[in-house]
Amino acid sequence: MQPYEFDGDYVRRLAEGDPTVEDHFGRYFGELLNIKLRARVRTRAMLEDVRQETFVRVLETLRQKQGLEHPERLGAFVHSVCKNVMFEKFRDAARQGPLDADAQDRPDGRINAEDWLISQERKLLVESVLQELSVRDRELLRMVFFEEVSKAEACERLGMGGDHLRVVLHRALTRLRERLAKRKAQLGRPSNQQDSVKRRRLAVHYTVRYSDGT
Amino acid sequence: MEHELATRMRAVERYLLGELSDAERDQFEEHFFDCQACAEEVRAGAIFEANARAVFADPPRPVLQPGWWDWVRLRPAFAASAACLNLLLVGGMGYMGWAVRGLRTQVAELEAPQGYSSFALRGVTRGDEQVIEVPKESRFFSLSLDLLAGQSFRQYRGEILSESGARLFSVTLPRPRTPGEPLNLLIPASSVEPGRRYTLIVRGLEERSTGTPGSEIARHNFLIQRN
Repeated sequence: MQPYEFDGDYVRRLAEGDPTVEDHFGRYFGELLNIKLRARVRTRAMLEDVRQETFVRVLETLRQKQGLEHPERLGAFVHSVCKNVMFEKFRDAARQGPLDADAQDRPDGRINAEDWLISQERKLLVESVLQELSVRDRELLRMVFFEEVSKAEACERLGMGGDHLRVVLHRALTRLRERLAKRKAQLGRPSNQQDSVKRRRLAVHYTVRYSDGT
Repeated sequence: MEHELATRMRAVERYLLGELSDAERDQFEEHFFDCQACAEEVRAGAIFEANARAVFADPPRPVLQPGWWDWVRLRPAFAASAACLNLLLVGGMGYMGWAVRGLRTQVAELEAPQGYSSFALRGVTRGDEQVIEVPKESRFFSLSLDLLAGQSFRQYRGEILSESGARLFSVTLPRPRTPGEPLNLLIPASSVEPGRRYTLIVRGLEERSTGTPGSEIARHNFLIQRN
């Protein structure tokens, strides 16, 4: 994703419905909202609700106020809106009472919420990073991420210090970022024709979605 | 949360591992929504975590035992050394084969019947030299010299000296079977160089009648030429 400067121009174009900026806004903050929400909500549906409601409210606010007083704090604004929406959803859910029996059988919400992060290509990249780790470090990550053994227990079982897990993760993330950046450079930017088609599609998508909400 | 603090406390890793307190988590989330650098790290972390889980969930692939070729391929330094060694071995064996073939040819030539030139060394005035003209195609030539009276020994030793006086070779010569026959010395033509001067010294060994054992009984200077 191309980095954008969150400034007055970006916020103005977003409020005016510039499809390129809307596309960037939706993808950039969509991912961050997913990351934030996946640890807090149980189901994919709830996550989608909170995410969409956040987008709608942010865009409404920007259009009504014709921008933000501090456009460089757009991220913090999105975050605060998301927090409010999330608490409202939690309150609503609490008022509706405990989950019914069917709800207990729903698949793990976190796994569902992670689907968007997983792709065959990313899996291969992550697998290559994991293969470069020592057997013990790989086992440590497997215990923590897959078996969901507590970090303290996993470190104790493997005779490692508590900080070691953070070090291993940091090392792995550094390598993954390098590979992602390299892959991105290899792919390059889409052609102008593809880009304009994509913009038109997104413009329609956002128009429909936001007009439903207002 | 300031970016500096987030970096110092390894907030990204701690966030992904769920090690931040509720307050710290909120502060860090607010920060990475605003900070594109941290957002990129968190995004990579989420990708890693989710895909690592998916990788671990996959059934383990059969582990192929690495063959000897994989072992070699993964150690380029060893492979290079082995390649050099192989090259040396192949080169050495090639050279050996070539040398053996040459030696066989030479042995076969030596074993084949061949003629050679014989030169009788005659007494010359002291300081003079005799010219020995060895045919170019000859592999050997022979020198013969007559023994004088009183030079009868059980054996003789012939020595060839170079111009500088260095002894090129020394060979035992059997005594002639019948009195009056000359002493004969067969010399490989390749052991002497054309245009060079040599000296043949003959010594008598194991006194039989007269003379002192090992004493010089003849000395001949000669010049080698090939034609």
